[in-house]
Amino acid sequence: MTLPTTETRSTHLLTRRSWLAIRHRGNALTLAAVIALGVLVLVAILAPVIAPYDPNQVSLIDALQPPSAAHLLGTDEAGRDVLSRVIWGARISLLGPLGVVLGSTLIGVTVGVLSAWRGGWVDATASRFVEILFAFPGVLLAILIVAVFGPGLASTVVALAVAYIPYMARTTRSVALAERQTPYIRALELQGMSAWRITSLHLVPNIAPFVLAQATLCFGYAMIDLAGLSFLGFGVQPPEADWGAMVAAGQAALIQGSPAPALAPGVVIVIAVVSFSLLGEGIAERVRRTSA
Amino acid sequence: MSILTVEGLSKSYDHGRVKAVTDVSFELAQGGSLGVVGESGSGKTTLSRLITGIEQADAGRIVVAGTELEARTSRRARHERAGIMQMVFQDPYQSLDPRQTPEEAIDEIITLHGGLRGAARTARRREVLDQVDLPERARRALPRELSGGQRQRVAIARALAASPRLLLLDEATSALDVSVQAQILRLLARIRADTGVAIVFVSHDLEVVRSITEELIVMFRGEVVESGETSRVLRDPQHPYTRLLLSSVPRPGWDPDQVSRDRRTFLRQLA
Amino acid sequence: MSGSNQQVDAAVLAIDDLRLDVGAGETAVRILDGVGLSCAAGEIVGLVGESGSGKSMTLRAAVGLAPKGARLTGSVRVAGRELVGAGRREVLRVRREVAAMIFQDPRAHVNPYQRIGAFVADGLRRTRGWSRTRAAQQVVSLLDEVGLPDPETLADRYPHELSGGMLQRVMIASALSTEPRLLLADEATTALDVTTQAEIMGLLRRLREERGLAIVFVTHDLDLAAASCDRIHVMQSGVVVEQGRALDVFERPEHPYTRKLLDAMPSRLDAEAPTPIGGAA
Repeated sequence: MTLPTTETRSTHLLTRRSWLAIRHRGNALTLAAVIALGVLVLVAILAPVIAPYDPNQVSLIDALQPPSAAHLLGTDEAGRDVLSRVIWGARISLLGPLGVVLGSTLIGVTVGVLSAWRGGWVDATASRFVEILFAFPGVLLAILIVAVFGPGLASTVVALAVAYIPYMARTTRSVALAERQTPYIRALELQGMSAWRITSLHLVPNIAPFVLAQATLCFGYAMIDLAGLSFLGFGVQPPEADWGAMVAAGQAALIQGSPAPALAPGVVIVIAVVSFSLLGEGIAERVRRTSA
Repeated sequence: MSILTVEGLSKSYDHGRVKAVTDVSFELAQGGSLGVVGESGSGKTTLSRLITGIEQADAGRIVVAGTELEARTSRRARHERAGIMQMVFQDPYQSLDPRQTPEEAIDEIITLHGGLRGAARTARRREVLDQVDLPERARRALPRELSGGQRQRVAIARALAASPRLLLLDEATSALDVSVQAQILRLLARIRADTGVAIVFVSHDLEVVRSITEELIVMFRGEVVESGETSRVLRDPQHPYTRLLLSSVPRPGWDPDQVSRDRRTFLRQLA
Repeated sequence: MSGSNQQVDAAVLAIDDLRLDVGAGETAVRILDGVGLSCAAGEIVGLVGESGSGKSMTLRAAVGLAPKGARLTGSVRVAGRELVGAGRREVLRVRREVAAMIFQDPRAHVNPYQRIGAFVADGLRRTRGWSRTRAAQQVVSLLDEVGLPDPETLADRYPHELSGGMLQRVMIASALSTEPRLLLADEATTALDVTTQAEIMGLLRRLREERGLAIVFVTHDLDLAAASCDRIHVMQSGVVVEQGRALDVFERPEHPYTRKLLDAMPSRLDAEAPTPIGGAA
């Protein structure tokens, strides 16, 4: 029996306020990440409007031109406008990770909530399954799947979605376990409310912020992995514009002294991944703070 | 007819090494009120967990409104029992879904237990929230925006929404300021008069139990050491432990050293 | 009992017109507003109020534990030393030599991995530079003084092996290790069972007699304050609304808030629970 007193409450307030002051820089970074990602999404949506050229328009005469007024980032070895390809590439480069995150979140949250709720053999089985997946390198799994189903965006997305399930499942399970112990969930159980109703209407909405934070972090990692797979030639196939594939194709130009075709998509990948990480951390921090 | 009958209830932990509740029996009549008083380790919390079905007893029976509590409860059994018996816990904040307003929480229970929807549900919701005097503005606020007393009112309203015949309150006012506690106790008395609901009030506080119950059991180390009419037990305690408990309550002219001596004598006699 | 308000010189703790504000501009909140309180050697002064009354904050201000960024004005004198506006060094010296504090939840204030003996010896070794063996002897006598049985073996045990009441005694022993003249108790018995509470209160009263300790006892329980303290201050929203001899305040409260608080005490709630509608289902 502990009496909550306003004294302690007001000191909380104070610490929270000084917290904010300290965290101000953190907030600014999160804000910058949100802006950067917003711009990228906008670019992806408006690609047809803002891209100066057709990204697939080959013109061998114009191959490997340095940046100029006509081609702001120059052209690649096939004479395609690098800027236009970066702009169009935003679509696949963002959609791919989105697919990975949606798939792994859907399955991971289901597995995590199920094992936290049921416990016992369900939890034991699910945990073994998650551990096995953990032990299996994601990229290797992807290569296996690509070997079976053939290269392409769809198979790499499916492969990475499977590889990311354990991350989502583990986070979800731990927060769901904690939430399951809370008196309000207990109270609803005692009311005789069905497990399905309690989890879907009460438990999952309350742990959603944690899941969102984890999913955002995964988005950044998925982007790197997808770019890596594209780079290795398993993912998006040329001539489709994709940042990872562009970095791979730009290698030849790099040797010939034209860094732009590889560098430009590389820089955008870094910006996007860092932004997602910052945003994920930002959300996680906020959740920690409000639930503390 | 009794609303709650407990017979020979026992529960131990750690393979019988720790006896939390030993051979506890009592009966509560329809519309009656029973206080369960004890210090930490007395077994009162375990007793309340057994009655709510959070834990299963090793021996004995619990009969709620003529139906015996089964060892392994199905959802249907829990649902049926919840329609008869409702609980209010100590911490009103944690027992509410942080994302649900009072109105939503109560709607959910009304639908679950009464099957009401639409206008009928709205009317019933208004009725229970009026019953606990929850201000209009608080009815659409989230739990974190409510005061401790308001949260406990919501918890009580939610319990009432199922139209129970028995209310189990486990240290339901212990976390509240005295003035708020007084309001909640008066509220409970009024609700009893209005609805005829029976209550079991589990508490460490003799004075609180005195103000709200007509019958009382005093627990010590898992056993009921004294039971009877609340006013009689507190006015004329028979068991030395009840006497010790009463003399421990601070009041002007109180001699804590005397209490300490009495306590030591009592514990020595036990050993 | 010693000490009326006029004996400010003899007071171990003298708080005068203490104001405490936090925040700035529109969000500024006044937590304490002109609080006055004194406590002489051998006196137990109760500070009573509900959540948010500022009682704990007053106590914290007395040992320089005001929250960061809070603005303090007025005067807090501990054994003649002014703490408002004092430097960190001065505040630390007061905490080391004059004032000690005990809390509601002793378990939250001990290191769970430290043996009881080492915990109590900590203050002695740090403030006096005593050796381990010399401190150990003193620890045994302190544990004995607070009424813990078999202090030699107890010193070798860990906090989780002790009950809440025993741990609170350990906290008191630790507080006494620096030979303080002022003991500040913040809801020190609130989390304890009534019978254990009585034992702790008996101990505090004995220490007051034997050591001449000045004790400020913060509680929400007016009954307890009236039963245990010499004088009582009643606080509401950062203001001391009433003060006086414990029995006077208890029996003849003058301020409406004190009266309201007394009426709310469960011991005074009308026992006539309304007769329910018998048998109605």
